[in-house]
Amino acid sequence: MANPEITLITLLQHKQLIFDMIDHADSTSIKGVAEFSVPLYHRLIAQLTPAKNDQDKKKLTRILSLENLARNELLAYWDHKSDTFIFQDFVISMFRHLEGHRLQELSDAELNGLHVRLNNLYQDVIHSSFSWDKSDVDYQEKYGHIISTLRDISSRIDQNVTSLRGQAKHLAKLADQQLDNDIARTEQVHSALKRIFDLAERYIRPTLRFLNPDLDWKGEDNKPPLYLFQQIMLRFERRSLSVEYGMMSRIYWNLLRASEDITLVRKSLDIYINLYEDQRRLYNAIEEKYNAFYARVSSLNDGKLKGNTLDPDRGLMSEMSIISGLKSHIFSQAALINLPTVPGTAYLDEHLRVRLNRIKELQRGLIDGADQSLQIDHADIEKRSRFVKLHNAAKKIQLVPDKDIYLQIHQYLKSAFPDYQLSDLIDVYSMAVADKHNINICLTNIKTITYLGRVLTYRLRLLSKEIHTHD
Amino acid sequence: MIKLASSEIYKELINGRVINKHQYIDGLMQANDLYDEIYSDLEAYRKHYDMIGFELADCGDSYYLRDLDSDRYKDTAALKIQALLLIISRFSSSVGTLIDALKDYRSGISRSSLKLIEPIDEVKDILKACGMDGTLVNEIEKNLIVRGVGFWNQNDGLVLTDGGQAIFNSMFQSTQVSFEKDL
Repeated sequence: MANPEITLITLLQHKQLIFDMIDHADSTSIKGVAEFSVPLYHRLIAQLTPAKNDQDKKKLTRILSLENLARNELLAYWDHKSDTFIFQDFVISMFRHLEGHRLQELSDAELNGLHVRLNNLYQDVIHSSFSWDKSDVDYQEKYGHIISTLRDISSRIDQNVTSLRGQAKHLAKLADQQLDNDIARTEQVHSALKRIFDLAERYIRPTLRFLNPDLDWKGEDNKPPLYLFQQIMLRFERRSLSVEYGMMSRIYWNLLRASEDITLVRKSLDIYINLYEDQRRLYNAIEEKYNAFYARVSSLNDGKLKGNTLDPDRGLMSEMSIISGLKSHIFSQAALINLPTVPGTAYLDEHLRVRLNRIKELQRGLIDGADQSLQIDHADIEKRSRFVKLHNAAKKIQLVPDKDIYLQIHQYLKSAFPDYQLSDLIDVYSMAVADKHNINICLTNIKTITYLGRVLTYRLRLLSKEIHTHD
Repeated sequence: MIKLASSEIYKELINGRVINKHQYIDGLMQANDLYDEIYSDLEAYRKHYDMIGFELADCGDSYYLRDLDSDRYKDTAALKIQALLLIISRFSSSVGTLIDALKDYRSGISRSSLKLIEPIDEVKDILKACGMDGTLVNEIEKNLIVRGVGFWNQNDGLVLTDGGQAIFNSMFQSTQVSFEKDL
């Protein structure tokens, strides 16, 4: 039979075996409570050995056998009737420490227990019967008890932090994987998010509350745990017991550090918690509105042949009016106005020709009220000819690839047109790029041009180089 | 105003379609030039449509035409769109899809999933009560896709456009609650 060292080393070499046992036990019962099943243990050992030769196989099976574990006192008990067994606490604790997410978090009940222990210590030190004489055996015993209790509490909190950090990392990885893989699949994402939410609600929040010296622990009568700790330290400080006070301070600072660590863990989970809470709120809102709406629909089913459609005037819900009055879908209206589809200046040329002829007539004084009409026509013609000039300018612009198109046009117009305005830029842009099919629009790169007090905000547009060279 | 673009915009809006900030082209969401054109000269467009009896209304990152002369009792378009969104949202989880998929152009709610919802009696009752005689997928096509409230992506999944998302948010929005309420 193998000695305890060899047995423990073999167990560590096959840690996946113990992890599988722990995971199975945790998944079938409350975490840390379930017993291990003997048949499952044997089955897992059998799966470990197929690649080995007979001699190695026999040796490994013998070392990992429950008889050997029991003989080396690594089992707390082995019940043949129920075919279950339990490892000693230190064995399980050692394996749980190897992977943070397998550690046990401190539940609310356990934190309550820690608070009761702190409160008992506090009641002891404030009691008049507490002996403060260092040479007194009673003092030494009580002081020893106080330090070991405080250290145990600190160690439990430390373990809790490691566990929560490990769990948080593990679940966040799980949720990210699911979200990256397929956002559409609901069950896995929802389950990962729910586990994160539960972790935060059931373990992180109570621990943070436990470590907050300003918050009473569940009711006004219960002083905050860290406040009790401070008061215990204070009693030692008042009696100038500096060595004892120093030792307690170190434990206290360790607890405060744990509080900071746990805050960081909580912050790292915020994004998932918000996602889960948003989803839950959304599903509740959908359910509520659906039920209310379906109740209205059901009330129409009264067996009558008429009047079984909803009154559109009421809409779906009273507050939902964002698209009320949306234009009806009637195709025939589209044909009432037919705008020209061919670009060009034919219409403008015709318009100018007619107007110019009229100006000549006006100049000859053939029409009454000539002065007034003449002024209006001049302004109009000026406006039209400006458009033609812009059109001609657009043809002359040589766009350089991979540079901001708007900026290039803006700079050209600024130098070429003395009365150029920023509003001209939009018109000239469409003319300048009318025959270009190689324009890349950067959706995320928003640019602005400011000129003569006006601002144009636009998405960066570039002429693609490759296609440009082909042109 | 650019003549060609404004003509296109008129055709879209007068037929009861929503003009969205982004459009789905070749598997990507790209800027919609028609939206940019309205945005760059919004006041002129508003005035223009006001003069011919409509209101150019905005709905999130989209524009649509509100019929100012219409009888409110004929306002069925909005009711149909909202009823369809309500059905899809309510039953998406029952066909194994997160509601967020409706807003992600890479995901969407697949046509086959929507067909699973079609035979549910409640769905049929709602469609009928809102004056929709076709199947769910057909009505989605007529009232969401054609109107620019949603689109089918390359995986044949239904995704809401900018306007569709704004309608969805207005239907189900609720106040945020902070996780740190008592810490």
